[in-house]
Amino acid sequence: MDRRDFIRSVGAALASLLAARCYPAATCYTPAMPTPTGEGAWGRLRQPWTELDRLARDASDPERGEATRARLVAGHRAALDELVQTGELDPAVADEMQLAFEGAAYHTWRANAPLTCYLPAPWPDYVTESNVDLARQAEALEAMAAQSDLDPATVAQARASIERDIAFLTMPDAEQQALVAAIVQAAGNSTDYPSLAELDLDIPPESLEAARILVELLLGQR
Amino acid sequence: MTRPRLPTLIFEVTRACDHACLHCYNFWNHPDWRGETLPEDGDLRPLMAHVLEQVDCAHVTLTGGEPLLRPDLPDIVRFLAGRDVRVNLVSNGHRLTEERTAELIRGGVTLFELPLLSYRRQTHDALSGCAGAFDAVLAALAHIRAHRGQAVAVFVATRRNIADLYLTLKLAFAFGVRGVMLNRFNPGGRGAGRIEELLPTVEEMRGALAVAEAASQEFHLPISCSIPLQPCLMDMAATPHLGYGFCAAGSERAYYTLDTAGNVRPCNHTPTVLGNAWEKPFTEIIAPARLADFVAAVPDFCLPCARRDECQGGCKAAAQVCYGSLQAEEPFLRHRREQLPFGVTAHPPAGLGAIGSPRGGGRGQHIGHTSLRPGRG
Repeated sequence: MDRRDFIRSVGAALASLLAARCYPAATCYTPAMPTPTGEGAWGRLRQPWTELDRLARDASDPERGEATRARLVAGHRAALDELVQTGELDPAVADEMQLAFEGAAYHTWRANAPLTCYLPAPWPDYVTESNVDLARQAEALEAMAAQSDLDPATVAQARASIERDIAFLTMPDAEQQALVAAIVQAAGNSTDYPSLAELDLDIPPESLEAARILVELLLGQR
Repeated sequence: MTRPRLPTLIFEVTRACDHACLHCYNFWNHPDWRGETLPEDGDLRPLMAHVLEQVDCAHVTLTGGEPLLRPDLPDIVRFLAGRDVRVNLVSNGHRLTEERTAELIRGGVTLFELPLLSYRRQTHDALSGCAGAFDAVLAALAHIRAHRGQAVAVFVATRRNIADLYLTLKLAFAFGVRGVMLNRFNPGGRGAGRIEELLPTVEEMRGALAVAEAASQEFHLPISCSIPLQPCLMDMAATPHLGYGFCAAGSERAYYTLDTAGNVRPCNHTPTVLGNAWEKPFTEIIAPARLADFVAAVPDFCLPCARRDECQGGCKAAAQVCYGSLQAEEPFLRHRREQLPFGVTAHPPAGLGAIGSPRGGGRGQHIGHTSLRPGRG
């Protein structure tokens, strides 16, 4: 994973968290309160993040979605420039934060826009798998391997990838770690789980700083 | 000067292909094509740089023909990635060995677009015109996932495979694709000679959409119908989980297409050449006036329809290649509209003969030269 991939992934992850955040139940007549945006440049920086759900809605119309995305990206850049000018933000960190927002906006737009011939799928960083999906993938693979008389080597490689992804997704949680252990035990020595080395990140300090600031910003700590 | 912002550019890096798909839409594979031969082995990076310097575009699709027939494909990919351009690779997958797949992913291919035409080997191979295609594409999908790449599968819906859709979607899901393009057969190149054999009926397509709608929810799989389907033939509201696309030519969503000689076309389905990137500035080539005829072309049948601006009658490039006019009814509409479900009265225009019959230019006449000569051969 390189620097740009990392910071874009941070943006996409933050966008996903924002999209998944809990609201009190709201109806047409009891609208949810908008997220406080704060005052000044930091508030203006937060604003485009809080409008990602609008982008998600607008994305269903290609031209409106593109316009909203362009507006939000420009607004984020303008707020960053303001903070750089006042000396509150390092220019290199600001560039990383902009990259993160562009990643978030692209992720949101791509995940909600109608698919076309040559932008056919959600952005590659948009991971839809859950462990449930992966388990069902494994079931489907076994079923289709028999149904279609698939090449055993191909099936083995596909199965190893599913198992690896399950292992990857389950790493942080103790209960799910037990599942991984069971899979490891069941699979013997033939699996290809990611090593810790594969998870090593070569991320420069300004990218990490940008990620930290963005999290604080969205938590309302700036 | 502001550079035009394009969501994507398509580069046809070769016209050569090692498959002979029955449904192939490449116009140079049309039985009547008498066009020029393009350079195949030159360095394309100067052309790509020349074009990308004139536009604001962060996404390029490499297609063909079969791009993997170019030995320098990894160099092209690295060159584009080095310019911070995301790269889609459209391939039949036959030459995606594990080593080559890993090299391309490392080089910067962010998405592979591969055909998956059936869950049955025999059907996939027959439609591909190539033995071994089925095993090769599944191996490619496995390699891509193993190396943490991303792939979408393309199911071209024809009369020969449309009944296989559900299990093919399940197979695609099993191999971890990020999405599926459910493209109904769009006659163009080689496929223009097989319309009756391959073009699904409206009822078959409706059934396929219903299957896809359910499968999209079952497998949590994004499915898009990228080849236009006419709203007068299909009730799209009945399939809210599917994405639908209409012709984007001339709009902000356009995917201009370049060949190895630098010829620029409105999309990859049409032989219409707007201009050559080596000879004219890109902004001039894609100026609205040059695209006006292409954009305005709508079949007479569609003129009374309230959705004509959105639908445009379907794929006008297919009409152009099959019937010689952008304004003709494209094959799916022409052959299938007798089954119009919403009380639309069919009134076939005069003068439409057999496949490849000559048509007057009218509003649909070509802007640049094209060497497709319908009605000959």
